[in-house]
Amino acid sequence: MYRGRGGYRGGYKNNNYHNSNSSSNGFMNPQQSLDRANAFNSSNMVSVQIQGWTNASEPDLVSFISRKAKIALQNVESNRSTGVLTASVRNAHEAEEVRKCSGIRFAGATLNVQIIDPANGGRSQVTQNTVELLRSFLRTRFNPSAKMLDLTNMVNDPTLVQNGLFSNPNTSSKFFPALMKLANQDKLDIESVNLSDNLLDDHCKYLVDLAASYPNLKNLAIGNNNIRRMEFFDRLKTKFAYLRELIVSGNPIVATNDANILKGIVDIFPRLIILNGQQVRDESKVNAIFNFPVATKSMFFETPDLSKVAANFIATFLTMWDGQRLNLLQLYTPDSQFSYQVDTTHLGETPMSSTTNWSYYLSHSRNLKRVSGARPRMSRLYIGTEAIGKAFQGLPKTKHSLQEFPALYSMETTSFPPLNGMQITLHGEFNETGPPEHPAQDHRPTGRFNKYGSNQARGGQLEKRSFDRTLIVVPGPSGGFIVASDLLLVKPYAGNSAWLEHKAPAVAPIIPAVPANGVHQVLPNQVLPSDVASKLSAEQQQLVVKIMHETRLNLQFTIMLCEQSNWNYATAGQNFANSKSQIPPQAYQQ
Amino acid sequence: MQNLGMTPQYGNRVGQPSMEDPTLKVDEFLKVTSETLDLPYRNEAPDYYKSTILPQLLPQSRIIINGQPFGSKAQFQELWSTLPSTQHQVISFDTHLLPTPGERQYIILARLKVRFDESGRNRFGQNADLQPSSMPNSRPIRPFYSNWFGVALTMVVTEKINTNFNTECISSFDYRITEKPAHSTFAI
Repeated sequence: MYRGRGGYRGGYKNNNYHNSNSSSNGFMNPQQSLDRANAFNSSNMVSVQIQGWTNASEPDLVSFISRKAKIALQNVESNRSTGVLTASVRNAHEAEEVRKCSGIRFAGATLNVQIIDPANGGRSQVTQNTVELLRSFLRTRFNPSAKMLDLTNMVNDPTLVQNGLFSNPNTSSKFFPALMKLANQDKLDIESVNLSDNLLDDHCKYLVDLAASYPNLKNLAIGNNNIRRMEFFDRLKTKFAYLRELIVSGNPIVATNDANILKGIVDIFPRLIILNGQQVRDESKVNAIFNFPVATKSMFFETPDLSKVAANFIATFLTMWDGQRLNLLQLYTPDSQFSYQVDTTHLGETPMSSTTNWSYYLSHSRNLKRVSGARPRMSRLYIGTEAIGKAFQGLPKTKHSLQEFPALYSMETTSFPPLNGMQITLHGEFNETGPPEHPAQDHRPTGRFNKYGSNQARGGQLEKRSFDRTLIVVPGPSGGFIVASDLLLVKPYAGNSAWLEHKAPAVAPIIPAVPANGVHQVLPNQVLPSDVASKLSAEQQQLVVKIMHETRLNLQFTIMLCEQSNWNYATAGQNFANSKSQIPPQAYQQ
Repeated sequence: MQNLGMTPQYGNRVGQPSMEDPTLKVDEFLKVTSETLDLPYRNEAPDYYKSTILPQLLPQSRIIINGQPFGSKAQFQELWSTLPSTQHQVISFDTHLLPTPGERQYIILARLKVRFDESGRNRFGQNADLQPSSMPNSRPIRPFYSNWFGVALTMVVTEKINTNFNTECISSFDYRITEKPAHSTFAI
């Protein structure tokens, strides 16, 4: 029978009803006033979580915080096994004051103070404790240097069992997704997972949860479980595209070593090389089949001379395009050609914006897949400075960031012998900063064929967009340049991930030299492995790069230092200085 | 403003533009050339098959794939034949006809989308398995295509294409993958 969740069953409705009745006269008795005051007080309370205190006692820490921050910790609860102490303070301001103690040395260790997100305020203490329990469990089972999460025999882990995580099907089913979520939140860099000896059966969804959090996992062991049917593996199709080694021995499904079963398992995982210790595929052939055979290079210049000339030309060109667009016309002659095309097809991994509006572009877009007929095609081609100037003014004002963030762009430059010039193709992005100076007049007929008419009337929307642009640049008078042809393609924003060059992420990346322009710009995407960079904010990436450069710590230890210092540069420096004598040699870049 | 004497030959520029459309053939040319990138292998001699990949390239074309240069047409064809099956679609393009000395040249800037076969076979049907399948398979194996990638393609092509597509006419071929899907087994 359908009962729904919002009915009148249970006491909730009745309680509300009585409460509202009791105060309906607008007055409260003293006990009610006290209750309300306490409730108000509690509602402002903020929880903090402190780690790194276990060399001393709980009262010692409370007293220490009281002296340092002049704040009294309340409702203190500590768990020496997890190393976590939670307490309440009166408001957010006090919480901030306590957080400033993060990084301070206390009883031979460094304190780590975190404010528990008010968004988690609805969490019960039990939930909070469970989260801490799982976090602590993850820490004990994760080997950062091997990037290995060893989850063998969790069902007999004393801490998990004592805390009732496998006591009933409900907690048991929530346990693993929660564990994976926390591993993700804590940005554990995991390449290998061992789930052997866990009583996994055909209905177990652990691997689906694991794939959701770690789709690029390389090594997985699920030996000595109770997997009997191929359906268990069928559910994993397309889920572990990068799995290289799998161990399934000790499961009923492979008890007979049936070659067809083993082949079926191999077929599920496209890059699997080793199954149960046996090589099943030729790794070089796998790489050839699933990897584009050309390593991506974001910049190509046919000769060193072209490199200098083209890079300077494009930098100046874009600066003028953004700032004084009409001044660019000095580079165009009565013979120069310019046109732009728009393609609104969304491709790539950047989420599609639901509000994308192309009305500033569509009326004069020369996408020849869409524009047919000689007259419409020719009317969208601008020849000569006057026509090109009008077209330039019909496009939104923009801001490119080639000089600030060159990694957002890629470029190819070759010579163009027919005109003794060069051909430059640039790919990248721009932000629209203002509407066109003189929006282009729509020359299409109105009526049912003008499907963009309503859009045009609404006015355009300023957005970030991606583009490709090809210029044929030829020598001009007095050593200058002339743009003979300028083709611009504007498309939905798609970022730069397709041309990021992949450097070996297994070892600590090398910090690049200071850029040639003398300005030390931190370009996170150029130095951090993309899987690490994707989990950090831009500020965090910059901090990691900066601290790696200054401390020579490797990536993994740098991130640990940053996390322990609440991503505060000064605190990180202090912590590094305080702990320098205890940092192992392998923590440094080799 | 300097006139380089290379005024585009688009008909009468002073008055109305000529109704002759110099871009008429480019669409079909793009379709034909992109199809050669996707040609299935039909048990021809491998060398012959490789020669059917973009035969319109001039022998010493400037060929750049994802920012990496190729020394020659043959080198490019050799490499392209190692890919799994592909499907290209031209979704947008524009072109200028440059009045260069001798033959005029088209500069083409096109946007394509491409997807790659993820069934675990290259276009010659070879897989990486060490043990051949013991199960006889009478049906041909169908490709299992990835999500779409985006490509920016810049080409320089002589005006010969107005009369014949099957001629060596591409002097510059710059193929850059500019968008990759969030999820794909195939990696760039």
